[in-house]
Amino acid sequence: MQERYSRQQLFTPIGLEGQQKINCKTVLIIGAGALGAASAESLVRAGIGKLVIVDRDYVEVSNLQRQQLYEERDATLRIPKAEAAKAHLQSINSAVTIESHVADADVELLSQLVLEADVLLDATDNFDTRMIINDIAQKYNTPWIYGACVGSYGISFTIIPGKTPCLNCLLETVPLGGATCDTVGIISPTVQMVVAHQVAEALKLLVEDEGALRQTVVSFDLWQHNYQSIHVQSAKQSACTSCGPDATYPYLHYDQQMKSAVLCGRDTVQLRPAPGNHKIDLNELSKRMASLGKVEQNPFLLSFQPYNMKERMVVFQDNRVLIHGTKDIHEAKKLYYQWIG
Amino acid sequence: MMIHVNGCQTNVPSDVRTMEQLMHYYELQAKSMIVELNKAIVNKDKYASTSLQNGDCIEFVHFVGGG
Repeated sequence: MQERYSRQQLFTPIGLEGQQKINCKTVLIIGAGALGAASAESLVRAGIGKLVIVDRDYVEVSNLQRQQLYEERDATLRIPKAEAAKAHLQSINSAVTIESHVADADVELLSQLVLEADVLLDATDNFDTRMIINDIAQKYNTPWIYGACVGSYGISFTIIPGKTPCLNCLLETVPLGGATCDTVGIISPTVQMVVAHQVAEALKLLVEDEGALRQTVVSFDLWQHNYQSIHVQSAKQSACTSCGPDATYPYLHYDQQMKSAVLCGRDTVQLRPAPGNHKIDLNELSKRMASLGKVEQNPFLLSFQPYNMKERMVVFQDNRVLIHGTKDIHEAKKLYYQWIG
Repeated sequence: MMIHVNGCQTNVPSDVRTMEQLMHYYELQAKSMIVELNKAIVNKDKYASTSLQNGDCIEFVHFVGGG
């Protein structure tokens, strides 16, 4: 018995055999915010063979209240979350292979990363990405575990292709205008409870104990003390475009438009120019902006705040731009075209 | 009418007679919900035609996006 994992191996449903399975499997975590940081730490401590982390954002001081892997220094230096997470995780368990991607979790990237993943863990903050994950999971026959939270409320569901209903069966459309961390906030115990459900289900999948999976949508409110567990098998739709026999995977279809998203918990809009666009040269941009406002640069990104404006723009190497100081996508696009071109 | 909503016994006004009216009463967005009535899922297109009875147990599960 490996001393390091002895307490986990003593747990009968895992045992030595289960631990050996965990040690050689790969989990893809999509998002490295509150949910992603917590589930990553849990899996790395459990001895997962390889962890792949995708996140588009960098650490800010407002993350530190609940995003457990990050420190003040990460926020001061604006280290991308995937990189900061990797550094901290590696010092927790040096035996785990950790691969980080500072990038948007788009169809192209996820289609590539899903190939080696045994389980996909949802730690995103938006339904657009979840619908992509849902279609990717179905297309490549890989289980994924939905998890989300706002305020003191959390929810999780384990989606097994070919067995359970998928997110498209349950929702039919992408919900818009719901509560977000922007509008109602978030407390860290809610995050921990969602992650507890997600990681427990992930461990069952990793040790191939499918019979132990929960099979219900679980939701709870830690402030109001309620906990629900609902059987949803009857909601599986035979003609679902994501998981039915004639699935078209509607959320994987290529879109040449600039993509935009309002970031949860942040007064920020992300813009992602169409993939065919030229790469932005950060050094060139830095020179161009120097006389127009405050410019700060590190190897990963460039931050620019025009004089006399509250909005600040952060340009990443892969052309993505975060516009801080607005939640209005049109305003963000206007600023983007105005300043970056 | 006395019903149970997410485990809490609740008295709702007499003009709340269907699932759709109950969701309206609680200002819930139908699109991001799963609704269970006495342990059975109610299809989204059946909210208006599902009548409520005294003693019904209703569970609302809200799909949220934060993380």
